[in-house]
Amino acid sequence: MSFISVENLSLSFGNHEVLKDISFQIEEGELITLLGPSGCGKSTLLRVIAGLEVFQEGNLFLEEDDISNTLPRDRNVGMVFQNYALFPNMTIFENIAFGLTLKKLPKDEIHREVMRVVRLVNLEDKIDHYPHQLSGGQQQRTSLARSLVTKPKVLLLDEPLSALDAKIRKQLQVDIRELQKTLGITMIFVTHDQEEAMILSDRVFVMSEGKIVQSATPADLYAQPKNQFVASFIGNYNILSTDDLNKIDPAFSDQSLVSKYAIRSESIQLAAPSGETGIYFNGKIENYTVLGSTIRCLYDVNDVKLSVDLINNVQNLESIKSQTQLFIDRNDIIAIDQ
Amino acid sequence: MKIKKRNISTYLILVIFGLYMIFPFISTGLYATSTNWSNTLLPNDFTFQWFIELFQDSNFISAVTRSITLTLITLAVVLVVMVPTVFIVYMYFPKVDNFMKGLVLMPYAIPAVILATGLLRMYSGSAIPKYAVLVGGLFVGSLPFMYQGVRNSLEGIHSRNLMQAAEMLGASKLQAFLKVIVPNIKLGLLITTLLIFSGFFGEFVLTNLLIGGRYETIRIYMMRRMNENGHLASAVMVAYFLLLIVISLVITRITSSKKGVSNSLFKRKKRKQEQVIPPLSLKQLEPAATSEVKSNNEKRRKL
Ligand SMILES: Nc1ncnc2c1ncn2[C@@H]1O[C@H](COP(=O)(O)OP(=O)(O)OP(=O)(O)O)[C@@H](O)[C@H]1O
Ligand SMILES: [Mg+2]
Repeated sequence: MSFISVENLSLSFGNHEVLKDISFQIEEGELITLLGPSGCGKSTLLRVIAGLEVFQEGNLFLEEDDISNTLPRDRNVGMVFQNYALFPNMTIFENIAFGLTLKKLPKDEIHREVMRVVRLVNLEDKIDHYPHQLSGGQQQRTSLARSLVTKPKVLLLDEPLSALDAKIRKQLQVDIRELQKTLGITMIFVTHDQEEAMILSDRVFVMSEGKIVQSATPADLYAQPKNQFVASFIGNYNILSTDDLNKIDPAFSDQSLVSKYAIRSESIQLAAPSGETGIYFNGKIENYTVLGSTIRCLYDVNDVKLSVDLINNVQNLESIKSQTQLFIDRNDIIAIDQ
Repeated sequence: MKIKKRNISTYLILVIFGLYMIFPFISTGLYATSTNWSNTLLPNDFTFQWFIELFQDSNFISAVTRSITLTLITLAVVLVVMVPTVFIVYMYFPKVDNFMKGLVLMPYAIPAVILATGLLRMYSGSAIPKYAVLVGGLFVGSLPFMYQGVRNSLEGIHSRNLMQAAEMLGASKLQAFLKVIVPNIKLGLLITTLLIFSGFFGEFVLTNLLIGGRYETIRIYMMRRMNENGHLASAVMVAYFLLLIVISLVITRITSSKKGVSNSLFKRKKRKQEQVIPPLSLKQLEPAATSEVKSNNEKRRKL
């Protein structure tokens, strides 16, 4: 049996069904992200695992034990909150030591353990400060340390970085991943930022309306989004019907009965002079935006709009204005569910 | 120019308002420190006679004592009952909370006289002592302040979140309440308590109607002496006012120097911690610590 196992779990608030028949397995030491739009039930699922929310149907196992009816404090699960939830009346040291003091460990042991995690999160010089004297990033690191010190079996993180500015967020993403790998701790990380999910995870669970629609490694998820929702959520895909594809290439045909195709914007190229096998077609540029390292172009191909990302270099910038021929490799046309 | 003009009229309004507010107090003070003030603009003499008489009057002292006793007992009941109640309602029964917010305003709608009459009718024949009925009545009267006061404190510290964080770290609900919630709402509680204290201390109608005859509190004493001797009554008034001013000052002091409070708390704790575990010796205990600080190797050490 897997480390964490969720079977057919459903939860409703009143008659609003928030989690619908969810099943998944997580192995020890994995970092899973729950990715999905606001209101899809990510936090609720996390809080179910924490024991803060009661579900009506299904099973929840942690290391073979059914923990459905275990109190949050007896689950040995840690949680890091979006707003840190540090105790304002305690110093950073006391905050981090809180879980251990409750266990009534000897003072010197508490001290040793606290200092160990304090060093892990680089807060040595802040232990005597109070939370309001720390920056957001430092507060979140305190919160992380406070959970880690109790050595939870699983650490749950509910959008822990979303209140921080981009630079600190990027740094903490790297730090968290590094910590997770060195400590070998199992983590479930909630985010609605697809890039964050890609950077952090071993596997991503994409959620929509209370269901997990796809669970895959970041690479697989990107290469093979299962349906239109996933494709539109995780990247900049063109979603086309068979009709649309026929307008681009009248010879296009597919024996399978799928009705939708996803094409990544960056897989469409300005036609190379050499004769690669694929679809060549003419498009009319409607507009383009320079997004730093890429140029995002909107082409019109026989009334089908195509978003195309090109590398931002002099040659491409020149070509956009003159060249009209585009190219797609057949392998980059991904059949997806509706 | 324009700005200056507006400044002058602003000040003028403030000064007039100030005089209007302070005039009765000054004249009460003057009356309390004179023996004769009838046909003249200012009193003819100055004396502390009334204050001396007042503080030598055992009835006054016992009236103050009674008022304080009554206030403290009621406050204790209010705090012990209301803090956990509001906490539980706020945390676990959000629907009841919405209902309560409206309900606790009811005492405003019922004049004290009617409340007292109702209480008298209800309990006059019963075995419940009037004193307890009075404490109960005052309790109800304090609800609007108490409920909102505690509730706002809880909301201000995001107590739902703090409770959950504490529980996830292994605390029971009671431990979380005592170790995390209470210390963080202490300040709000103190202010609410002081507000209610001054309210109870000056309560007249309920007390007078319910047990006034046998249990003379400060306001009832004031009432009685007023009919005997105006100067003395003024002296009581002044003493009473000064007490309320002290309480208000304490409240403003606490509210305006929130930072100061936490700072002094911080200093105190810091000193304490330094005594218990001097930071330097720590690093000596774990010699690798300093060099390890920024190295990555250190992170590789398993928890
Ligand atoms: N205690 C509750 N009572 C009733 N409905 C709730 C409760 N908590 C959450 N919900 C509802 O459940 C749904 C899922 O909420 P949840 O907080 O899990 O979303 P989320 O995916 O975490 O969204 P976000 O990204 O905005 O945090 C929402 O429609 C929300 O309104
Ligand atoms: Mg959420």
